[in-house]
Amino acid sequence: MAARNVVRSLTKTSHLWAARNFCQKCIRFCSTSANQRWQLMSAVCLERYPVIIKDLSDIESKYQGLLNTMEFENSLLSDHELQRRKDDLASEKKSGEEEEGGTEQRTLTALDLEDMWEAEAHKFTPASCFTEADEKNDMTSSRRKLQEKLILIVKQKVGEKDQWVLPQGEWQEGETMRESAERVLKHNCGDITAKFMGNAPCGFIKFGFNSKLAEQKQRRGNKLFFYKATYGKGNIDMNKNSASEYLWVTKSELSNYLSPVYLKCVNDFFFNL
Amino acid sequence: MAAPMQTVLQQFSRLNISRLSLCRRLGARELHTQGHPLMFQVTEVLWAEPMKKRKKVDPAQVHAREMRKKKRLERMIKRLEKFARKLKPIEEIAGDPKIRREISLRQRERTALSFEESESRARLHKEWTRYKSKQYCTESGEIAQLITAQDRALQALREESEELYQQAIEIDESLINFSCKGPVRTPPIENFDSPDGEYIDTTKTYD
Repeated sequence: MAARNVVRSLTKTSHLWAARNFCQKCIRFCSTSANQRWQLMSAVCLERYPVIIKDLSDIESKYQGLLNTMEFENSLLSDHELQRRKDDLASEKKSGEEEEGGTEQRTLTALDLEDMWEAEAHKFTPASCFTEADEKNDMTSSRRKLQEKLILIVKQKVGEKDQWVLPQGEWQEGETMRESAERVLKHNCGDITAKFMGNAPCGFIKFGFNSKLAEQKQRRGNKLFFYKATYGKGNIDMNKNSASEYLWVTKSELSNYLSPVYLKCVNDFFFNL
Repeated sequence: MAAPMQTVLQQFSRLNISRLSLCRRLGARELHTQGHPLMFQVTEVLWAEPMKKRKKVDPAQVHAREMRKKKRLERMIKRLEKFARKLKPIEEIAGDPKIRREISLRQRERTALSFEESESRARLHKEWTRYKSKQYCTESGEIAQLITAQDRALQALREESEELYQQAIEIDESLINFSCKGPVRTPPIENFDSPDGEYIDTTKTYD
């Protein structure tokens, strides 16, 4: 009531701007006074997209084969195939002539060309889809399971015990939720390139505190907002103060680490599309 | 009398005095000054030139001249058409004339499909459409789930702070013109030194 009087007197003296500021502060103060407010937190859902395509499923490979044969049937003969036909005809003729003892002329035939091409193709070996990390089952490497989408999880102190979560941190006054997500990622993982997907959070979860903790922290609980980011490059340099371990896991492996409530929330926005 | 007469005459000097020299007559004093001034005659005012007499022309000659004119124009038109701006041929549309000539040579021998083969193909087509539609359904379901999750998150943020919500729904300009390289067949080889091919410029120039 007193505050309102002050406000009224301030507006009377036409210090409108000051009055408005003061008013806002009052409102904020009023709402924080009771421990009805939530602690805002940002978390990062850092994804590594698949590097290589998935193996074709049974129907996919069958249909691929059908499309290829249909395309072949509908096509016209290429220059190379024409050349090959010509060569075949010429060699038939020659074999007839050779008995009479004609002089041979060596020219590059289409078959020779094919052999040459094949030899050249054999020289190149593509990189293996089964990487070193797969061999050692090194789950801290982002070079594992190149066909799948991976997500970064860290072991962080949540409440009193360490838990596997997505890297998270508290929102600080004066920054947007996205900015705090960016800060959290940098603080936890060091200098890596990650592209954040927009300003809006992709999911959220809230945890209520028990009455003792609520009183101690003056908060009802945590509201955790997830931000999606795409991993670019750079090695993860874990900050030992905030997180003890980290892993790159697939969607199917997530259930081994996350708590069921947390997992359900993450599954709402993390898909292996 | 003579002196005033002179001045009168001087006044009329622009007039054409016809018939006789006035000076001679002056001496004889035969000049009438009353009634009609018979001696004076003013030339008529000429407002136009008299028509020239038209030359008669031979109609055959006129016809020949017109024909020549026509022929000259036709020749000019023909020349313009010949050197008119030619459109640049589009190779992709025109196609290779060599292949067009050889098209009968390039036909592949086609074997008629057996009944079983065509049946199995039709079955595979149907199976494929079923597979794709199922895939589409799951994917659109997942996308809808993503959108609901985001909406819920935004709603929860709005309950906390309108300001943070407004910041969250702002458009991220850096994502416009978004591009990403999709998955490839084999992983990239690190430090791979790709061999250079030969560079042949096949661009045609037209003047």
